[in-house]
Amino acid sequence: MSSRECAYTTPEMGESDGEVHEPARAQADQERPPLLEIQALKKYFPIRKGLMGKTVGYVYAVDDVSLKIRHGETVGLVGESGCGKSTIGRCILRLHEPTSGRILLDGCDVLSLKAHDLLQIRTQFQIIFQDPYASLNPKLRVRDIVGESLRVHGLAGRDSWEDMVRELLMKVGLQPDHMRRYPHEFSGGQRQRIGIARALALSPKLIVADEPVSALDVSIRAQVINLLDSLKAEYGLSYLFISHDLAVVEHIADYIAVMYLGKLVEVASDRDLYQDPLHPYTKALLAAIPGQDSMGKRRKNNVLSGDVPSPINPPPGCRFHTRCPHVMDRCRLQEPSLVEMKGNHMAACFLYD
Amino acid sequence: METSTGTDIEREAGGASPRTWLKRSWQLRMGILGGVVIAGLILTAIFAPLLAPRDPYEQNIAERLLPPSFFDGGQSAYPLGTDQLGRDLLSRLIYGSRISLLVGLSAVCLEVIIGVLLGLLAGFYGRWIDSVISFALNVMVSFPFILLAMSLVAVLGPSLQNIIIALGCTGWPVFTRVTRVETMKLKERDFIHAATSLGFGTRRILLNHILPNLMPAILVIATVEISRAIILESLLSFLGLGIQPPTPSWGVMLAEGRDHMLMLWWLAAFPGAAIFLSSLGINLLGDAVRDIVDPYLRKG
Repeated sequence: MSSRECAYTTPEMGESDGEVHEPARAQADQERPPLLEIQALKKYFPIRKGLMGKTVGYVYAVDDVSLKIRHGETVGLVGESGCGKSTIGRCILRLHEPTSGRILLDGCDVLSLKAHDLLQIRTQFQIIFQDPYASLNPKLRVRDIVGESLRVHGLAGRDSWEDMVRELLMKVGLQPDHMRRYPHEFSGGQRQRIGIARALALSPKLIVADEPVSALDVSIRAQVINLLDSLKAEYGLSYLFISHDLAVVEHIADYIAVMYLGKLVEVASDRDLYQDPLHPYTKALLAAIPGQDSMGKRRKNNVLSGDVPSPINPPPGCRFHTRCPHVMDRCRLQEPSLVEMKGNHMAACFLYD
Repeated sequence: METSTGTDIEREAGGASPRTWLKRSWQLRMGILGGVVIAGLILTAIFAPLLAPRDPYEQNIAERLLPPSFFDGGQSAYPLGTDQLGRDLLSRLIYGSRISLLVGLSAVCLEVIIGVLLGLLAGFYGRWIDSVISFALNVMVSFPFILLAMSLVAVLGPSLQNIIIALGCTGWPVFTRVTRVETMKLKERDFIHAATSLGFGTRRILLNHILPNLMPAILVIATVEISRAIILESLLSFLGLGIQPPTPSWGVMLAEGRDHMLMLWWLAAFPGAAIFLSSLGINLLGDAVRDIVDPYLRKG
């Protein structure tokens, strides 16, 4: 029970205009605590069957994941589809209730918050969704999609909220007169920009970007990524950038966490991960990027075969052992834990023991 | 700007084949026909005092059971003849439209309020709330309507207001069913997750974000339910459980005409035709409304 009192303020608009918000807090320790700290997060989805809804098993979507995001940092979360990366993002926002673990936002335990406090703290983290066609309410005008939160949280007056919406739309590269339109009048890229403006409206500290460009045309992806990158500096944001594509994450992430079947297998800085990947799974992911890799030569024979095992019944030992090219006997029995291999470079693999 | 990216999915084959065009145009015509009938009904109800040639309550024993004016022995003063108390049938039909519309609209309003609210709660919260509401719904549906309405009216006493209450309290399950399922689907959509993560309360999410997406479906069911309510009001009135004589309700008139059905068939036929036409009109209109609000049938 070490989480301190959750004293947060609604983000101040106007004067400070979204510089690094956090007023210097009197902290006992020298180092500023991370913006977001996930501790031993688990999310098991029960599988119910039969009339009585008896639980016959679990989907181990996220199994014991710990992760930190510091202020102003972008952490990329990478893994194949179904590995639990989106579940982590949604647990942070409490769109899913985690099975166990702690999520600390600025030292404040998000999971212990009661309904009212939760509504307040929700202003501090926002989400951008993958599918821009599903993420905007088709019955609302852009004005309301972006601006409703401003009114609800009392961040803008009756007259000023429309101006703020206009400003937000311009920030994300849309026209102010798009306000009166409905989502179906926009293209995928524009819709994603609307989603970004909606997330920005409350001046959050953290934005969970859940595959924000995966559904977009390749020609649009770079635009949206660059937009996210420039907004980060302007608003002092931190991102948890979820993607299945290492090539996309490379552009934006400071740190990258690689996930496989509900567990983190490697966490390293952007450069370390690309130059010197440790975990065989990371190597395989890098090799799967088409074209030349970052070291200028083709990695051979490193493309994974087979499918990801089911998270309902994950393999014992190292979860990657069924597909690992370097599998040893030990991997089938014991589970490697995520340990620091070099400075700030963590991996979960027995190869380096 | 990237307007011309082509990311917009071509949701529908835009080119209409001759057959679909024929079908659509047929539906459109039927919808317009329904609209005309309903507009006529509404205008009749509003302007009843101007349209009715006589007072619908005025009795004239000397001129009872007259045939319509276009039959032998009919009088031009009574275009559709008179009933057994010598009241002008046409005037009573015209005033009867007021009762039908009033009951239809009010009962359906009540049904929508009860049904949609329960459906939203059941669909959104799930768990035991859903179980309780679904159970109540199944009980309602499996209970014979007439028995239920009869007991309600017996307890409350037959009156216009109680008819509306009885119909409203028995008709809501249709709305609950649709609302519940649609809410369940919608609450897993990303834009509802987005509303949650913007820190909106449950009431705001239900009413401002989910409900607007349900309106087309509710509207379509409501039109069908209005015609159901009109028919059921006639039925209850026919059975003597609804509107009480001498109030001119189509159901009451039908019941009164029943005694003379063999010889003076028009006494029952005219109110019957009024019930039939208005519910047909509403159903045709409802179909057209569904086609208009259904995005898969609507063209770009």
